[in-house]
Amino acid sequence: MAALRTAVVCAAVLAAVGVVPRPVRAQLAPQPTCPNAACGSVAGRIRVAGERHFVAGASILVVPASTDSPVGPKRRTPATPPDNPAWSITATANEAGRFEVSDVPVGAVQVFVVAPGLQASQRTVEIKPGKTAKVNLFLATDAGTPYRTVVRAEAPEPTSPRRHELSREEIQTMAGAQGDPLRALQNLPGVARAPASLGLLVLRGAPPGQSGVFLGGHAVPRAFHVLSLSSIFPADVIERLDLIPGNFDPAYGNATGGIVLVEPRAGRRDGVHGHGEIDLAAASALVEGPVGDGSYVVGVQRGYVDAVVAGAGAIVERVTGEASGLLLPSYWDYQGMVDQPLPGGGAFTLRMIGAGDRLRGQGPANGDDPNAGFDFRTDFHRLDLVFRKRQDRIRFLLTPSFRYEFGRLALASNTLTRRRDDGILSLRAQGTGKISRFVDLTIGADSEIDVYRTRQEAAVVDPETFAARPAAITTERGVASTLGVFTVADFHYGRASIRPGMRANAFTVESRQAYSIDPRASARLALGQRWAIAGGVGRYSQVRQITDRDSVDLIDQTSGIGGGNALLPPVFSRFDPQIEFAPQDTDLSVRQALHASVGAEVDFNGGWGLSTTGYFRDQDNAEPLLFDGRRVGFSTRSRNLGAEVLLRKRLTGKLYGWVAYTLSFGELRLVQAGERFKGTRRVSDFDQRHNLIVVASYILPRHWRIGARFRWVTGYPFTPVIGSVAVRGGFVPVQGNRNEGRLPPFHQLDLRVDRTWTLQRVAVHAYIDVQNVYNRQNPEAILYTADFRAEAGFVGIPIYPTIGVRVDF
Amino acid sequence: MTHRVAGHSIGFVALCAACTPSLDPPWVLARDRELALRVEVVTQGPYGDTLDPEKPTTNEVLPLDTVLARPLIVGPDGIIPLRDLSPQWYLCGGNGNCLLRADATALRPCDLEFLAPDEPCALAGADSLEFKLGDFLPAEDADAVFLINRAPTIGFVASADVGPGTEACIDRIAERKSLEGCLWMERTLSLGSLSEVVDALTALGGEFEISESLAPLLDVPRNHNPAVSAFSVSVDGGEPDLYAPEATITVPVGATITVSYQPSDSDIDRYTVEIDGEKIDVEDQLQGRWFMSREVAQLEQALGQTSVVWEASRADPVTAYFVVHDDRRAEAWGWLHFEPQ
Repeated sequence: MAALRTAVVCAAVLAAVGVVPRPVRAQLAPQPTCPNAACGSVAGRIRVAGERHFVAGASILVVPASTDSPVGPKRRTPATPPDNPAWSITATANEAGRFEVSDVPVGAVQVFVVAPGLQASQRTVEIKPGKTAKVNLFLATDAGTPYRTVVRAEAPEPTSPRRHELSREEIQTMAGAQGDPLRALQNLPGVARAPASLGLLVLRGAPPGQSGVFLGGHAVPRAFHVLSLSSIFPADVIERLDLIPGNFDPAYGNATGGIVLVEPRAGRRDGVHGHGEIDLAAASALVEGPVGDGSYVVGVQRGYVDAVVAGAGAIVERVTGEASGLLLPSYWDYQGMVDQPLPGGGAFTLRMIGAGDRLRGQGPANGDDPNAGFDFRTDFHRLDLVFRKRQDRIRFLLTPSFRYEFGRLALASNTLTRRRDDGILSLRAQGTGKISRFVDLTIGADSEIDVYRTRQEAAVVDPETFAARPAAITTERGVASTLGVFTVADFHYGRASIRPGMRANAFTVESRQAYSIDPRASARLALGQRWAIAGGVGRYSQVRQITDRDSVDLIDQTSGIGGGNALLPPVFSRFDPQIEFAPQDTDLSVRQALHASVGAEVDFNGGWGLSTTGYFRDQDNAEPLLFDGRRVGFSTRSRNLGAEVLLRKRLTGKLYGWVAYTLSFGELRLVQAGERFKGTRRVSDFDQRHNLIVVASYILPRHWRIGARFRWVTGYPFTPVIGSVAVRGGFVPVQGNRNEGRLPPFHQLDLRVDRTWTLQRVAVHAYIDVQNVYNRQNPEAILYTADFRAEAGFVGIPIYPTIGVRVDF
Repeated sequence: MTHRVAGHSIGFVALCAACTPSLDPPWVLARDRELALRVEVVTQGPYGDTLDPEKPTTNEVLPLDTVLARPLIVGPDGIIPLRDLSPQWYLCGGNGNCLLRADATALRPCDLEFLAPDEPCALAGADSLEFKLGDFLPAEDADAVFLINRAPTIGFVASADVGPGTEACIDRIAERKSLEGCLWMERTLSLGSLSEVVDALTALGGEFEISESLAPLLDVPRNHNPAVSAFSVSVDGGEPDLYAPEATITVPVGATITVSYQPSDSDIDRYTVEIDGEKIDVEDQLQGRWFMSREVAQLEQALGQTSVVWEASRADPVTAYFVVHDDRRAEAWGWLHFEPQ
C-alpha cells in the first residue's frame, strides 16, 4: 500500500513539473534502510510564497539526491525526481502545513513538494545521523496574483431589483480607479462620470447629497476626503461593496437617490498578514491576524498631496522668483476591527473607524491680500459594536454606534474662526424570521441622535496697531435626530418572490419635527435557470432645512487662467469643501421621491451575464420655508428617467470585465417661481445623456496583469457666458440660460499594468496606471477670452500616469 | 446665514494651467473692444458750486446738469467711431445690469423728469451721448430722499462689422443668446460732490445727519477729469523724450521701449480733509492700462501702473493705447504709434 502511494505521489510530482506522466511501472522505489542506524530525518513547514499561510495536505517526496544537486533550493527550472530512485519516502503535510519524514538515510537527499494550484518546489538537504534537517518551503501560486478573494459572509439576499457588487480584486486592479472603491463604482451603470477623474457619487442623476453611503449599517458623514481625492476607506478593509442605484430596501432611509453599502471584512485567521503601499498621493498599511477565536484588522492611510504641492511650489518660487499661492490638501483615515464568534452561534464585532481632512490655503509670501490664507479641517471618529445572532429561525442584528465629528474653518490669520462639534449616537436593530414556509418577515429600526455645538469667534482688528483682538464669541447648542422604523415581508413561492415593505420616518431639529411614510415593494421572478425579471416601486424621503453653511469658495464659477477665463460647469461646486454649522430657525421639510424600476437579467456560461434596467425617479424637492414662514420663492421637482445595460464577465480565472451603458435624462422643473421662470424646465446639473464604459483586466503569464478602461460620456451641461458688459476696469460676464450649454463628449482610454514578484515571505506588487493614454483634451471647463466675448477652447486633464508599490506579507 | 468665504480662489482650473490652449494676451486688441468712457459735465445745472471753466471738466454730475459721454472703441485697425456701429444708448437707475433687469427689446424713450428712471429707457446718441439729467426725486420721507436719489447708469449696445446688427444684439440680450459680435458698455455715473448733494437736498427740504465717519467726505470737492497730454518714451534705457498723444515714433527693431504716462498738475486733484481735527492732504491716485494693436514681445505691465515696457522685435507698426482712470471714476486716454525700423 505504501509503495502504491509512493507511486501515486511520484506521478503527481512528475505531472506537476511538466513531465508527461507515464504509466506507473511495476518497479516501485523501495523504502530505504538505514545501515548501522545511520539515519536522520527531515521536517519542515510548507507555506504559500508571499502570503506565508500554510499549505495543508501538500504531498512530499524524499529521494536520494543526484550527484549534481547542490544543497539548497532549486531555483531555476524545477528539477524532476529521478525515474528510478534507489529509495523514496512520501509524506503529507498536516493542517498546519507541517511534515516530518523519519528514517531517512544519511547523505544528500532531495525533497519535492507539490500542492494543487501551487508551483512545485524542491530542496536538496544534507541528512546527518540522528539529526533532523529543517526545511521550510514556500510554494508560489499559479494564478500570479497576490489577492485572494476569500468569501466569508453569506451572499446578500436580493432585496433590490438591481444591485451591483465589486470584489476587492476588481477594485484594486481596475484601470483608472487607482484602487479606490468609490471611484471604481463610477464604472458601473447608473453612476455618472465625475469631472476630472475625482470622486463624486451621482446615482441615476441624483445630486451627491441625496444618496447615502453606509459602512457597516451606519451612515458615514461623507464618502470622500477633501477635494474628493480619495474614499474615506480603502478597498483592503472591505468584504463587500454593493451599489444600489435606486429602489433600495426599507432598512435604509434619509436618502432619495441611491445607496452604497460597504461591509467591512473580518481579519484573516491563518496567521499575521498585512501590507504596506505607497503611490504618488498616499501611503497605507494594514495588519491582520487571529486573536482568540476571532481575528483583527487594523489599517491606516495618509494622503500627502500637501507635501508634494508644497515641495513643487517651493521649487517654482526658487526658479521663477515669484511668490505663489498654494492649496495644500491632506487627509488620513484609519480602520480597526476585532471579530469574535460567540458561543451558541452569532458573532460580535468591535469596530473603530475615522477620517480627517485638512485644506490650507497658503497665500503668497509677499501678498497683501488679507483673505489669502485659510485653514479648513474636518474629522470624525466612530466606534461601532455589532452583534449578530441566529436563533432557530430568526436572525438578529444589533449595532449601536457612537460618532464624534469636528469641523473648523479659520480665515485670514484667525480673524474669523468657526467650528462645530457633534456627538452622534446611532443604533440599528433588526430581526428577520421565517414565519412560514413561504414568508420571511423583517422588523427593524434605525436612529441617530446628534448633539451639536457651534462656536464662532470674530476678531476685531485694531485700527491703530492692526493687531487682532478677539471680540464676539457666539455659541449655539442643539439636538437633531432621525428615526426610521421599517418592516418588510418576503413572500417567496417557487421562483417568484415579492417584498412589500414600509418605512416610517421621523426627523427632529430642536422643537421642529417632520414625518414621512415610505411604502416600498420589489418583486423578482426567475424564468428558468438563467433568466430573471425584477422590478420595484417605492417612496423615499430625506429631511432638509436651511442651515448656516460656509464653503471655502475654492471652485469659482469662473477663474482666470492663462490670459483667459475658465468657466466651470455647476457640478464642480460639489467639490467645494464646506461645513454646515447651526440649523436655522425654519421649519423642516421632507424631500420625497418616487422610484420605479424594472429589469431583466440572464446568466450565460463561463461567468458571463447580461442585465438591463429601466428606471424612473420623480422628486418633490420641498424647498424649506424661510424665517417668517414663507417659502424661499420657488419650488421645484426633479425628474430622472433612464436605462442601464451591463454585460459582465465575473471574476473567474484570469479575466474579468464588463461593458456598461447608461442612457439618462435629468431635468429640473420650476413649479412655483417668478413670472419669468414659472413653468420653466431645464436640464439637471448632473444630466449625462450617454455613458459607455468598457472595463477589462487579464492575468498574463509570469505574474503580469494588464487592464484597460475606455469611457465615452456625454459632456456635462453648463450655463454659457453669452457675452459681457464693459465696465470700468474690465468686463463682467453675462450668463445665458441655465444649463443651456453642453460640453463636448468625453472619451478616454486608461491602461494599467501590474507585476507581482512573489518571494518567500513577501510579495511585491507594482503597478503603473496611465489615464488618458492618447492625451485627449477632454473638456472639463470652457475657456473664454479675457473679455468673455468669445470661447477660446476647453480646459482638460492631460495624460496622467500614476505608479504604486505594495508589499504584502 | 449662508455665505461663502472668500478663500484662496485658485479653483480646479489653476491646477491645469498646462492643459489650456494658448490665448491672445488680454492686452492685445484682436477684435473690436470698448476700452473707456469719458463723462463730462458740459453745462452745469442749478445745483452745486459754479464750475471753473479754466479747470478741467468734472465727471461728477448733479441733477439737471448736461452730460457728455464719449467712448473709446478700438479694433485691430484702429479707433472706430461709435456711429459706425449703430449704437443704442440707454439709461437706467441703479448700479448697472440695466438690460438684464427688464425687457431689453421694449426700451421706451427716456422722459428724464427725474434723476434715475424706474425702468431702463432709450437715449438718442451716436459717437457720443449728450443729454440733460433729470431732477431730484422728492420723497415724503425726508430720510429717504438721500437714499432714492442715486446717480443713474448709462450704457450702449452696438454691433461690430462682423456682428449681427444692433437690433439683433438687443434681441439676444433679451433671449440670453450668444452676443458674439456685439459690443456692450455701461458706466454708473458719480453724483457729487457729497457736500453739494447734501446742500441741494437740504434746500429741497430733506433732513438727515451725516455720520461722523462720513463727515470728512464733505471736504472733498468735485472730481475733475484727468487728461493724457504727454508720454515719455525711452529706447533701450536711454534718456526719455516727451511726446504728445497720437505722435508717431520710429524705434530700432529689437529695441526695448519704455513708455510712461506723464500727468500734469491739472490732471491730479489735490485737496485737504479734516479727520479728528487733523488736516490731511489727499491727492488722486491715477491708474492705467495699456493695450497694443498687435502682440509684442516681452511686454511688462504691472496692474494699475502707468508704464509699459516692451520689445520691438518685429518691423511691423504697432499702436499703444493707454487708458487712465482716477479713484473717482474719471477716465481719459491717449495713444502713440510706433514704427520699428
